[in-house]
Amino acid sequence: MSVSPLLSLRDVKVHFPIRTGFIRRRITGFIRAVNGVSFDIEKGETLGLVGESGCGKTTAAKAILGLEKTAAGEITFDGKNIAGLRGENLRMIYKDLQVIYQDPYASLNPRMTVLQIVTEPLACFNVMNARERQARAEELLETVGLDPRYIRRYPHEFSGGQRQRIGIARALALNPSLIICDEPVSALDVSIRAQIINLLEDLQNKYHFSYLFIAHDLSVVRHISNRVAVMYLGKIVEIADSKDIYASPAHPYTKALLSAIPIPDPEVEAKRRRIILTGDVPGPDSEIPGCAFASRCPVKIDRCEKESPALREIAPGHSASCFLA
Amino acid sequence: MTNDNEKTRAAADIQPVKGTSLWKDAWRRLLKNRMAVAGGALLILIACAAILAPALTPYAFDEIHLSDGNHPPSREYPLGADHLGRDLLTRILYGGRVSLAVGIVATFVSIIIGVSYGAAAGYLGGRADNIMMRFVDILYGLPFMFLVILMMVIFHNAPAEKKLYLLFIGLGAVQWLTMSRITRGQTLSIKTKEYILAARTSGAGVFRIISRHVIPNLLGPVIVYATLTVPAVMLEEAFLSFLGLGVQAPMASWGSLASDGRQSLDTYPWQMIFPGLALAITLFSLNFLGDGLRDALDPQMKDQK
Repeated sequence: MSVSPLLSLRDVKVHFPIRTGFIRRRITGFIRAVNGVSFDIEKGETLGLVGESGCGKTTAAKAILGLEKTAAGEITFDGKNIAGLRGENLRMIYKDLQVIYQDPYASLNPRMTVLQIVTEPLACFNVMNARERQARAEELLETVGLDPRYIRRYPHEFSGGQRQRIGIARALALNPSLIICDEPVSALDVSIRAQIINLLEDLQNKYHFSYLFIAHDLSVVRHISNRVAVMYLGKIVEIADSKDIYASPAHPYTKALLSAIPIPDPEVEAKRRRIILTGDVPGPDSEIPGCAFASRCPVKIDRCEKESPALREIAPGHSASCFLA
Repeated sequence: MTNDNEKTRAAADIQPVKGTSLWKDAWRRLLKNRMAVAGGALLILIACAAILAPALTPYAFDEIHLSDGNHPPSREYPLGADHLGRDLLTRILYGGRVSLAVGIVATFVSIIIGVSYGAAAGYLGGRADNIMMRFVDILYGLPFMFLVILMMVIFHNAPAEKKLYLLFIGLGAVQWLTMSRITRGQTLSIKTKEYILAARTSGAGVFRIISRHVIPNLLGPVIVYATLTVPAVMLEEAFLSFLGLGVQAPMASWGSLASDGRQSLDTYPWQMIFPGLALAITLFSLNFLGDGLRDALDPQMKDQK
């Protein structure tokens, strides 16, 4: 791999203040949505970021995009520190950093034609003239598998899968080096998901950009990711090469997540042992002295309540934050 | 990636290259609403009659026939004549020009100011929003009649047409307050939509987001409110004219005609009834059109009722 990664997060924290009081709204606590996250994405690589709802994966993505203020930590993109950028400086990073959003019904402006939507990034950065932009838009639609003749149509005239393709075409317009996919298939029908994931994979093979692929489901990420990071309550609990994490998960949370994936073979499926987690997720506003997962962990020991396990390397390229790993 | 594609290809054979925008969709729904269409047609008719007034009547609006003072409706004077023997139909047609122009221009002024102000306040949010909307609250607290009357008094010796422009600006300046509040509320909800986020990460600046992404999506309620503002402004103009602060004689508006006619309601009722009727028909039409537009632009709202 290259010397410096394309994107690198070091101990990034995003805290939302909790304000109470009617007239003088004092800050009485913090929700630690992202609480010390570190990872690297190499050029051309896909990192899958997995975790349950509310674990802070989307907030982490927003922090990278400068849409949420970071409380601490460093975010380096393409050799530059981008944490805390604002205004014009922030705008310039979108030339190289694009997003595919979760909900294809909400992420396309209903008053704009496909042409206007897809060429929006080009227009914002004043790239090309109107005729070149249209040619580029037609080319992009073809790339994502849509008929370029639909360029004058509006989003409401397309199906969910087609709309997501329009969103993908928009993200490709500027030839970015990193695309953040924020649960790009979770709003789609199961039958369409594989198509979109295959499309994303084909595009990467063709244009060699990197993905940060966010999902709440390990089975979706498995196919596309080179490495997978599992998040729980604002922290990364395990990060490893894709095949390692599926073959030999180290963290009990990862094991529980993996055991929830159904196996498409009735005989094997019948024997599948599921790890059912009990207990509650602690509120993200509470300070936990020990392991954040301790309240639900099936293999908890006394030490977990008192001490927080650090993310440590248990095998080459495989890190987990668990005393028992 | 087959299923989606096949659909795409199959539909492409019919060659529907052009898409239907949401505006076109709304237009189709509007055409299905009979009351709204009737209202719209009536408005067009009234507007045409006002514009073509010189061709429709043989009289001038200030042509006096003293011998025909208070003439009842007849062949010569289809809607009767006033105390100076001026043909009432002619005066209603010419008055319609003033009333409609005041209504439309003042509403237009209020849209321009209110929408840009409200969208900016709503999108910027935080302290800017707070300061901008408190300013609106303060203006709300000022009695608007005071403002308009003050303007009219200050410029009391300006020529009649200039005073008309003043009326446009004065009434528009009052109406934009509500318009900005409606726009701000809409902006707050649009702001949270993912496509606004997508515009930001596409590199769009604040001005571009407001003008290309926020405003086109909130025009629906604004248009509806505008069709309801036009009659409100027309009534206000009538009220001002009634006080003698609006249109100056010999020019007329429906409001000033009705106010003149009120004095002789017992003896010559047509002098009040016909201008009032013209105003009422116009207001009804505008309201029906407004209701129709609301249903057409927001079909889900209608189903919820």
